Parts: sequence; structure tokens; C-alpha cells
Amino acid sequence: MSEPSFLLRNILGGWRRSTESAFEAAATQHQPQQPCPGTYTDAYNRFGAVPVSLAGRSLQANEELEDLSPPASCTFLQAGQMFGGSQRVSRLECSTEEDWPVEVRVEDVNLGEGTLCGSSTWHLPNGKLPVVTAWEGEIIDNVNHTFVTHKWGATQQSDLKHWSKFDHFVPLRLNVLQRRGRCGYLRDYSHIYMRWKEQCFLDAGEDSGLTIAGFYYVCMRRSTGEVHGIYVDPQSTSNHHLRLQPCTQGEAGSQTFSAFQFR
Amino acid sequence: MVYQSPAAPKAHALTTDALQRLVVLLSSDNRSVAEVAARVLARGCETPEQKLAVADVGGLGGLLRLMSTEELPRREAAVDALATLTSGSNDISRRVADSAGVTAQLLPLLKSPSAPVRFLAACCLTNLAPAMPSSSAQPSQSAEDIRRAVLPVLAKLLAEPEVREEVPHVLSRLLANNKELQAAAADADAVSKLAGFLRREDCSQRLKEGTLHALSTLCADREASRRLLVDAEVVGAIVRALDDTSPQVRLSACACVRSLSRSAKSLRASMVDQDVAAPLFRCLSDADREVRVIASATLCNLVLDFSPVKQAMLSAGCLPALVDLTSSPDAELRLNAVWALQNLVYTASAEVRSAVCSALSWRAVVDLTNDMQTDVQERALNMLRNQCANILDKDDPKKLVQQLLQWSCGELFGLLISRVDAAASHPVSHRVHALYALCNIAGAGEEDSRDGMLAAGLSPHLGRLLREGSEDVRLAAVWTVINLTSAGEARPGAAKRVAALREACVSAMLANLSQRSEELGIDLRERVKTALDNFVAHDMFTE
Repeated sequence: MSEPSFLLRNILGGWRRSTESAFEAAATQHQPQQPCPGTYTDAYNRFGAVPVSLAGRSLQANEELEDLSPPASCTFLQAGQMFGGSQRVSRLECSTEEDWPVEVRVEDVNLGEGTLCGSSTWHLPNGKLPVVTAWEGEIIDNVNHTFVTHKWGATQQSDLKHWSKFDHFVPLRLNVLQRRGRCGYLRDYSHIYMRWKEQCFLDAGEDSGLTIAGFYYVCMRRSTGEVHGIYVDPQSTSNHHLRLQPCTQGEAGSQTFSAFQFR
Repeated sequence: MVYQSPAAPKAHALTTDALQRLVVLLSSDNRSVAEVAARVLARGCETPEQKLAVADVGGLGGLLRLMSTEELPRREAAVDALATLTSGSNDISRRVADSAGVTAQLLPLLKSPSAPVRFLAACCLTNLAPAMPSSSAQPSQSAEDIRRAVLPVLAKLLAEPEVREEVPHVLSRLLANNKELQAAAADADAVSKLAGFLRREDCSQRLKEGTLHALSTLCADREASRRLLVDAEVVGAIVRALDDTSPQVRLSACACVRSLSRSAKSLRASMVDQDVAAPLFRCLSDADREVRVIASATLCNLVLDFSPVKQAMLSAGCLPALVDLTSSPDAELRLNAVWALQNLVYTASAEVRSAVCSALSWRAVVDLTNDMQTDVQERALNMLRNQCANILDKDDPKKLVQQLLQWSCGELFGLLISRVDAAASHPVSHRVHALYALCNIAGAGEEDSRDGMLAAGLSPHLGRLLREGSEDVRLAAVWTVINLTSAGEARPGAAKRVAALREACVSAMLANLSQRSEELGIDLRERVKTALDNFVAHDMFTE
């Protein structure tokens, strides 16, 4: 791919459209001092780059020092883990917000393939029977899945826009841009990133008014297991926020752990 | 020349004497005689004894000599006999594989214009591959290279009516325990070709058996292949085969259902709308032991909480059947039964968990935790762990823990703590399950159960496990500490437990771990922090 001139880049502004790598373009924009994106590693080495503290400024790519291994396992990301919480739904037609209570079960986790699946039980405000959906998830692990979605109607621009809504993604952002969707700091990072996509209704939930056309950008906090999901529907401009806590029967110190094995 | 046809009647009663004469005829100067002798051996050696008898009187050497002749009919007859002799016999396969040049003679036959010859060569090579010398003089003849050469030939032969019936059987053997090759086979369209046989009216039992077996091998560990099989819309035919009159077909059908049910995603997609419960339940008491073993293994997956047929399996009566099997003298059946019970109570409703307590006596649980097989012990401990875990719905987990404690007549803590004991020589996985069982009781139960496990002597074990345990053991120990020390309105005894655990050096061990945190994985580091926070919170409160 030939690099457009600096002027053209400015005219295009923000993100380049679809066909070109927005991630790469943004990386170069964030680094005006690096005229040629192909040589930034060399430049870093010349300046004697050191590992950047996770707490401080943006994390920059340094290929020699970085570890691209997948996130380390997390107690809250295991088969059998249950969550309770709600989704805040903004409805355009009535300009009000509603909270839909939901229970989520993680049913199967395969760290080798970076996948998980589970089910969600929605308690809709109309008071009818709960609606149960089955979902599948991808763990952003640098191996099987990156921050670039590449499907479900997502573009690299929309990916970056939504990931950036998570506060703790911001320090990773530059690194992710430079690595075109991968990230050198995931193994021990304080948060684990995922995408969850509902696949089908398990109970006959027709006329529930629920749509499963979209998918969630998901961020889980390692220390507490709290989950924040942003629902993105290609048909709609408003985003819904899903917030979950590990199920502890409402009490601190009530975390329990089941286990099963397929035979 | 009647013996040239694979359809030739099998000569069951070839005596050792007759076999010996045939072997002598292999060296006959008359070409036709040698060829016929090889064909008769190919059809006439059924039992392992017959095969060994042929090998012991020099039959392998005779056949290999025949293989090296210039004339195709004699070579093909020799391959036919070698395919028979090497099938199901590692010993003979090794003896053939050890002879120089045999693969070099067989490999070109994979390209023969005759489908039966290609098939026999593929069959021979499949049998020889596991026996190939590891350091072959010719690198292109390693076991893997041979398998890779055979796979596409077999995949194409599935479309040859002449040999089709036997191809899936050989394919299963070729793919056994070889994930890479299983993926390559799926890429070569093997799943959809095999599935096609199951849709045919004229699918013989032999073809059905081989097809189901090959599909179970292809789908055992590979999600993409399971998907292909579900999409081929033959799950109904597979389920119907559970009731076949042939035990081999029933066995292969069970294995296929088992492979399909080995992931949550596939379990949901494949078994929904299938009336699998009743036929599988019948297989549990099949006259054939092998069928019973695979059926009980399959049940382990079908009773999981996200299985669409869990309720149907329970309604069919699987719980009392499984409880019966836990006391079976057959070790494999016992393991499958306790495995299924462990999965049955996993994230299950209070109703299901109570039903297990009612159906299974505590004495039986104690026996299982002391079983001769350590695998059975492990599954029994995992079952207890699952029994004690929280329940998401409104059912009260506290009641359930109470019920478990009553079920065990007060022995539960003693049993679990004896398995946690670092001084005892139990496997690490047992320790982990026992710790999580205690952790779960501490999390889901009431104050008296939290105090109860400390009174039963848990504290010193926790300190020791934090000091010297593996990462898994430490993590389970730390979670137990967290659940015992968290404060709250319903937990007035937390301060006392904190004091008791401090007395047993648990807080000191935690502090020590946190000072060495760079050695720990991030998950354990986070939990150690939470546990220490619990101790600190109590200090602030009391000071």
C-alpha cells in the first residue's frame, strides 16, 4: 500500500475509509515524528527504548521487548461463572432509558481457541416470561482474535471508536494501532477484552421486541470480575450498556466455583 | 479364481496344516498357483491365531517376495494377503514394516487404476504406519508422510462403490488420535461424503458401522467438523442408529453422539429437537458391554445444564440408573457414572441437586472417594464441589448446603479436610476439588458452616497450602480464605474467623506471597490482594 501524502492524510482527517487500514493510518498519525511507519522500531531502538510503565503514558509498540502472549487465565472467566446485572437501553422513539435485568452464564471457555459461549436470561420490562438467548464470545488474545472485528458490520473505525469507550483501553490504544489490532500488554493487563455475539433465542421469545442482530464489545475487570459491555447494532445509532457483576447472592465473600469436563 | 473376489466365501476352517501348504505354494514356479495361494490367504485368515500361524511358517517372507515380482497380478494378490494379515495385528505389522523396501513397493500402488488395488495398498500402509521404524533411512517414509499420502486416496475411494463399504473402517484407523490428519480429512470433504451414506436407503450395516465410527473420530475433538456434521442434517439418522439391531452399529452411533456432544455449542446445536433420550437410555442397559460403556460416557455430556436433552434424560430415569452404575464392578462404567453425576449437578437447580442427595447414599459417596481408581475419586470430589456451589435462581443455596451437611451425617468437613491435607499423598487435582468444595460451602452456606470447617481443623492446612502449594492449589486456598473472612451483615463471625486464621499464620503466608508477587500469575496476585484486604479491614474495625 502506498502512503498518501501528509497533506492528503490531513484532508481525509480522522480515519481513512474502509478499504485502507485505518489502524495503520491512525498509528502513523499519532506519530508525526515518525515520517516512515516501516522504520519506527529502528528509531525506537536508536533512542534506547525501555518498557513503558502500565500506569503512565500511552503504551507504545516495541517489538523486541513486548510479549504478545494471550491474557493469563482469570477466575471470573471460567465455565460455570454466573453474572447478574442489567442492560441500559435507550429508546429513540420515547427518549427514555430502561434497565433490563439480565443473568448471564458462561458455559464453556476454550482458552486455546480464544472462545467462550454462554446464555443470557433477560427479564424484560413488559413482565412476560424471561427471554433466553445463547451467545458466543471471542477473547482478544493476539493469537485467535485481535481488536479488529472484521465482521458483523464492524469497520476498523467503528472498532476503535467503541473500544475507546472503555477507560482502560485508552492506554493500550496506541500500541493496538501500531500493531494493527494486536497488543503487547494483554497477558497481565488489568482488563480482559472480548466480543460477545448472541446466536439465537433458546426460549420461544418471539415478539419480545428483542433483537440479536448486533454484538457486544466487552471488557472484564480482572480484580473484581465486573463486566462492561457495549451493544452495537449496525441498524441503530444508539449503544446500550451492559453491566454485570459476578453472582455472589448479593453478598461479599460468596464466590463459588463449579467445574465440569466433557467426556 | 473365486478367491480373488472380496465377496468370496470366507474359509473359516483353514487349519494350520492347510495354511502351511498355502505358504509353500506362494513360492511356486507356477505364477497362477502363487497368486491363488495369496488370494486364499487373504480371504482365509480371520483369527489372530491363523494370522500368526501364517507368519510363523514364513508366510510374510513369501508374500514380500511375491510383492517384489514384476507382474502386477501377483503383486496385487500379495498386497491383498498383507492387508488381511496386518489388520488388527501390531506384531505382524511391525514384522512387515521392518522389511526393507516394503513401503516403496506399496506407495506406487496407491496410484493404481484399479480401485480395489488402491484400497488394499491404502489399507496395508495404514496398518504399517504406526509400526514404521522411527528413524527411517528414507525421510519421505516416516509414519506421518505415509498417512498423508494415504488420506487423499481413501477420501476419493469413498466414492468407489466397489470398495466403499470397507473404506470408512480403514479411515477411522488412519485418523485415530491424529488431530492434524482429522482436520485434513475434513478439508478433503470426508465429513460430508460420509454423512451422505447415512442418508442412503441402501446403506448396509457394515457401511453404517464404519461410517458412524469414522464420523465419531472426525468430530471427537474438532468443532468445525461437528458443525459440518450438524449442517449435513444426519443427526436424526445417527440417533435412529442407536436402536440398530447390530451391536457394532449401536456402539458407533453412541460414539458419534458422544463426539457431537463434546462442546457446549455443538451439544446445543446437534441435540436440540432430537429424541435422543429414550434410545440412549436403552443403550445404558444394552446386552453388549462396549455399548454400555460408550452410552454412559455419552450421558456425561448430555446431562450438563446447558444440554437441550437434560430434562428428557432425567425423565427417562437416568438418575437411578447412574446411581446403580456407581457400584458396578466394571471400573469403566463406575467412572462414567460418577462423571455423569458430577456433570449432572454442575450449575444445576436445587431440585436436581436434592434429587441426587436422595438417590445416592452418603456411604456410596464415601466409597467413591476411596475407589481403587484415582479418577473415580477425583470425579466424586468434583461432584461434591458442584453440589456446594451457588445457585443463580431464587432457590436458597443456604438450604442446599444445610441439606448436604445433613446428608453426610456431619462427615463432610472431615472428608474434605483429609483430602486437602498437604501431608497426605493425594493428587493435586483432588486437593483442588476438595478445597473448592470447602470454598463453596464457605461462600454459599451460613455462619455455622463457615465456623464448622474451622472447628474441624482447616486453618493449619490453609497456611501450609499457601506456603507450598502449586498455583492452582494456592488459588483455591486463597478463595477459601476470602469466603471465610469477608465481612457483612449476615457474617457476624468474620472477625473471629480472621483471628483464628491469623493465629494459624494464614495472614502471614498471604503477606509473604504478596511480597513475592512477581513470581505469581496475575490472577493469584489479585486474589491475594483481596484476601489481605479482608484481614486489614478487620484490623481497622477492631483498632
